[in-house]
Amino acid sequence: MSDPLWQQALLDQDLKSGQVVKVSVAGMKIMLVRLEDGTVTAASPICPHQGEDLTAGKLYMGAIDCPRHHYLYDLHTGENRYPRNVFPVDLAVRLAPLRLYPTKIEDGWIWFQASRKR
Amino acid sequence: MGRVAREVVEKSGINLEQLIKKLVAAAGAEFTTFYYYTILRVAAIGMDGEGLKEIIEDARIEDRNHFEALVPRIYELGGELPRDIRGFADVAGCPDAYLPDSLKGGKSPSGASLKDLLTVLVEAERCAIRCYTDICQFTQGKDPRTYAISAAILNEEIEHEAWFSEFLGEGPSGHFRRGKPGASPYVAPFMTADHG
Repeated sequence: MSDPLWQQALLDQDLKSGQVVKVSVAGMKIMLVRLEDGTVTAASPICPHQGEDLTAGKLYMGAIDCPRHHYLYDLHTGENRYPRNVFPVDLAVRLAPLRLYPTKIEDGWIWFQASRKR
Repeated sequence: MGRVAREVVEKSGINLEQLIKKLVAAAGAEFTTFYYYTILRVAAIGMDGEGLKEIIEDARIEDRNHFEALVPRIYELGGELPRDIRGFADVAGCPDAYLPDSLKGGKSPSGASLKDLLTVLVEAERCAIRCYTDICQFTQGKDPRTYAISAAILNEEIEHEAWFSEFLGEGPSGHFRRGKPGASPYVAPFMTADHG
């Protein structure tokens, strides 16, 4: 807890399975997700494609579905899962991943490390 | 625009501008998918590709039908299609269904390249399912007409996914082919323009 990089985000009990929540911590907006396998992910809420708010998206098999163009981002790795898996190579390499942050659960809170990419 | 039709939707609590945006994006995805599926159908040649051609054609024509069914609803609600077709493609709610690299140059799909083709098709249908599930959830219990159109389209997109998924060996669809190409059994009642 003494590590200044770790930020307290949300009470662990306030994030239910399958829920997507946006929190504001020290002026920074973070998307928190609890996947059905129990994994908690902290990520940027901004779609890397065209800046849509991902917190309005739904979860599909461990990925968040952007409500605008339905791009899928893997919430374990941040990788674009779709359309990266079907695009021609020259276009696929241009698809930016979703930024994820290291996360931990401690003392009943969800914490994330703001300045480090996962 | 249908003034009362628009007013009742507004009074239901739906954000009308947001709904119109979703419908235009969905129509854009259908229109671009119709275009890309034309290329994919053309590429479905050879011993393995020919077996896929008719199913791609069914999905292609039905996607065009979905576009036809959505457009009147957009205008009834006071929306419109983008004046420039390039802008329309840009707001399309699903990514472009490009011909896979492995089929460039008129190669016959087979083995890995056949799987590439099927993956483009099945993923496009999965995107459409997510798109219409979103619109159905957005309108359910509030805007029965948009809900009914979207649910009808969703029914067909789910069938399309199952067809391609079946080809990929992911399990049977339980369906049989359409009586005629692109028959749109669910969406046809919403197509007020003659579609043959």
